[in-house]
Amino acid sequence: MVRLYEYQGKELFRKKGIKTPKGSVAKTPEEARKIAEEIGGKTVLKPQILAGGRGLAGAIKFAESPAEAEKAARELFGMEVRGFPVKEILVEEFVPHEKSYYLSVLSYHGERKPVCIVSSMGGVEIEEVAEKPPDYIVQYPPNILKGLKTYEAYNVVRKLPNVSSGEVRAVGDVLKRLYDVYRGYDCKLAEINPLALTSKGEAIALDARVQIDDDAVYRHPELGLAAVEEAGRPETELEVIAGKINMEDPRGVLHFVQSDPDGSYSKQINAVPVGFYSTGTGSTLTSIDELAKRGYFAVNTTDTALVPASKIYKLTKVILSQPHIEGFVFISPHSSQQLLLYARGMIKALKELYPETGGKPNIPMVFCFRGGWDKEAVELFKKHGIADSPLVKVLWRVTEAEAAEEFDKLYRRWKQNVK
Amino acid sequence: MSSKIEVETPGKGRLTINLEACKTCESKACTKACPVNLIKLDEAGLPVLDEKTSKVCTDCLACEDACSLEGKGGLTIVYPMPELEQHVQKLEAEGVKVVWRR
Repeated sequence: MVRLYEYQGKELFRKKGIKTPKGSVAKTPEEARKIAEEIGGKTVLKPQILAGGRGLAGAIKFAESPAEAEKAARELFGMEVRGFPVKEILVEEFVPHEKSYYLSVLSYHGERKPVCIVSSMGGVEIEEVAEKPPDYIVQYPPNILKGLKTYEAYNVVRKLPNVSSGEVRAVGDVLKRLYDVYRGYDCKLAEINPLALTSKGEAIALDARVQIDDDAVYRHPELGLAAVEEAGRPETELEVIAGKINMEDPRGVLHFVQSDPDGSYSKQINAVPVGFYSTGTGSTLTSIDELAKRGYFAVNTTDTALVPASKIYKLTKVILSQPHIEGFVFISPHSSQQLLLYARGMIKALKELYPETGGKPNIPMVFCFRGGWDKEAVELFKKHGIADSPLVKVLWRVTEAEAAEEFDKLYRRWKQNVK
Repeated sequence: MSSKIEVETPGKGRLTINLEACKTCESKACTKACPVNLIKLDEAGLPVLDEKTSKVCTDCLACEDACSLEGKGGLTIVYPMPELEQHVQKLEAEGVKVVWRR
């Protein structure tokens, strides 16, 4: 899924008519001061990172004046919050409020439908509300074909205890609009926590958490998003490039995540970093384990299914562009996919990256095919002459352990010759 | 008549057929390789791309593969990846070479 920054989520909210506090994004302390001057009065400074719990980490600051805002921004820009360096800060007007709500619309796998969740005890630790007074949380699964009607939204809010009719209208209206955001932008989650109710009865979204289904990101080029996996850290350049492959051509499924982008972890555990291409979680994990047992660390994980050969070609180029790798292993699961497409894609990449040798690489590589069109895939490597390379082993229907063993032999022989 | 055919595939590839090479090709392997039958031969025996190619092509690379193995290499598909090229250049400017550039 693709998670949006708070300010991006709020932009979507505003497009659907949900009110948000006045403010904009600052990239320097001076910009923060300028924005605070424009807003006037008390401001809130919120680092824009793709992780929750900013308040608990002490990374949300309040400023009474533009000078204070600049000072607070200076402190924040030097910080790392939950593993993310602070590069952008959302400077917003402070909204005094009497009551906080929690609102979300999310894809619930258990029901296989969207579910609206509303609580009148919004705030920092919403998870605890679910355990304490359960009356204060209401769930409602709307009919996705009919959408969420305004009266349904009102009825959801009405189920909460101690809610005035004014609140029902204000909060129900936002819930209806939040559902429109969820459906309109192919979200997996659209969440407001907290939704502030002011003394004038206005409902204002103080935060925004929006996640878009990564298979639908290509449908929203207007958002300018990189279709990147969420890895609990800032995305790497190669991950952004791999995400672009999906944006250009949404056919099939393609995932790429680096588990050791700079090779430091491999060094720390004294393992040999290898580029890795596998499809299917089970086979991927088994293969990684078998490689690890022999002293090799897969510096990335991948998954592709039902993709055109062109995407396999592009992804192979991305995997092989990790500068610290000392080998490459491709292992297919016992797949129903056309493995001939995999062979074509990888061969095209090899021939382009190693034009002088006709695709024969300069590091050890193992290609293991098992499944549909596996014989043809192996044959194709032979036809192109790549299978003859002393650094290449093309395998047919062997186990993950045998493939890892073959890679180990190749690698050891290569290292001996290099010495 | 132009000696080149060029079309963009759905996977944002630039498919080019150099007809000069095709004139010397006996196999015309590309026509048999395409699983969705988008490459046909004209009266002169040269490949013609179906007008649906830019929508229907599955980017399976079968035509290019067949041409390189059995034909004269006149058919190529280029998938530009400018961001990857820039990334590799940036690494090199920092003194880091990717494996295939060593």
